[in-house]
Amino acid sequence: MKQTITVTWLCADGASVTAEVPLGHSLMEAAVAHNVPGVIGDCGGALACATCHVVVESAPIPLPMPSATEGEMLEFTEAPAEPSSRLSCQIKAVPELNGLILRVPGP
Amino acid sequence: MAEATTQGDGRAMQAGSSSIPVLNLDPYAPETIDNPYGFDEALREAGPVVWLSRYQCYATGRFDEAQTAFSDDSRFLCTAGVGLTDIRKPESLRDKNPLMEVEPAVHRRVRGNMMKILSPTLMRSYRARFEEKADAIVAQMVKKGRFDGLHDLVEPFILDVFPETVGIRINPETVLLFGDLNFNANGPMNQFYKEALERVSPHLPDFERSFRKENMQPGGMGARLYEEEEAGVFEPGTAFGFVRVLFRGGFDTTIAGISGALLALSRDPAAWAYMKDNPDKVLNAFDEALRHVSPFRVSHRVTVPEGCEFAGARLEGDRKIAIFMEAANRDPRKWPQADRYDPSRAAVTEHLAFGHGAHKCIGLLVARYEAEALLRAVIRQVDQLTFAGESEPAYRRINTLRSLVDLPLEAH
Repeated sequence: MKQTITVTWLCADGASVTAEVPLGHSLMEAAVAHNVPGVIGDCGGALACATCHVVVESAPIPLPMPSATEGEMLEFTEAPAEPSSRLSCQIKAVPELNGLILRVPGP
Repeated sequence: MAEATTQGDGRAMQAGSSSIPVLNLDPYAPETIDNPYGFDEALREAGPVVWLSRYQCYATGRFDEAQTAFSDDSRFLCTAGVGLTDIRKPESLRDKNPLMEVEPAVHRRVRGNMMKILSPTLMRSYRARFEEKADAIVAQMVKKGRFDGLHDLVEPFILDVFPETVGIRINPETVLLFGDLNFNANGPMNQFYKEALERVSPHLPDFERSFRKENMQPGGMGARLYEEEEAGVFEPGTAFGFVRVLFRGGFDTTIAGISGALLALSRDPAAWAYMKDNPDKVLNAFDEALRHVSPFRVSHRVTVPEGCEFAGARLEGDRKIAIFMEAANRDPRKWPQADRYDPSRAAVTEHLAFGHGAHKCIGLLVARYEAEALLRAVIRQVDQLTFAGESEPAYRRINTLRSLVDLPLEAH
């Protein structure tokens, strides 16, 4: 079985980044590793900073619902949260999400 | 070793005689506090969970088990206090922490409301100020050439920026004594604890006063905690405890972590070269320091009343379990070359120095921004950082805190 999934980030400046993300890694880690602008992860994935904000543009299957704490933390994002906003430290790479497209909201 | 537990306490005998190995070592003995890594290895290698016979509690030093014990509130609770002593019993002199040492449902509500006050948006707004102050104090150090990285740099920086960020007033001459007492009180009531109590007792009334509403900076986060208590968001009387949490958590461990990073960078040319080449990864230098020499050595939970299965063993109900972050953060099952400081390592943020799960340090973002500002200023302004001590660095004798005595450095 393939050990990675393909994920694309649409950046605020119009560019995009596509990367192979190892299964089990969080999409915040993956974005930081591939220098996706605007995904920062200041708290290291502790659900404490809201700097890994992304908007789900297209997903092969619906993502699991955000936890109550993630919902609360979405109030602290720099760009206003949208209905399909997520904190990407809370999304793990699983085979079903192969082909996921995320947008990084602009400032 | 099992013999030590077969007398006196029948429950202890039972706990020790199951499949759980008994460890008769003292994590709080002076020589272990000076160098804990032999104890930590013995703890990890004895089993995934052991019975610490000296203190009649369970203990774990392995990464996976530590992570689970921190975060699974169907088996482990904070309600008996996160120190070694049981806060529900009168002999424990520790005051209950109204954020942490409560039922899970209460914690979730309180923490959510606290995060609105200690908000990431607000924390971010302080970064420019941290940077400005860090640049200024590091420039002074570079001018000096030789300095004490702890007393001349990290301590003054944190004592300056943290109180203003959270809106409290401190007495810089005495505030760190409060931490000495707290981090000793999290362990046993031994000589270290008694000596700290004696040293700190004269200042306790001052500390109590400094947590009160009238000591809060108008408009600051501390003042808002009191306002929200008055508005009924928090239970009456809890704001005082929340402010005490800021005093407990905002100084000692941050200071120890940043000084630890400076020590490691000053002694390891490869790590220093990596940071000079990758200044944008400055937080990795901090995270790796927290993993490598964890400031907060050990925290505790209590098993649920009915007991639980854990790591292949049956744990009795209502028993403390000591979670040694210090050992888990060097568990070779998780960390290749665990004893080595390597800011370029994979999964560098996954250490347990801030805890794990719902109770993970509520102030970690401010600590990270402070560390980022100060370490970035050092990495930018200093070409060569060297340890200037004549002997091995020494750590203070505090039960649950690993913190340097001093940090002689040279900067060029």
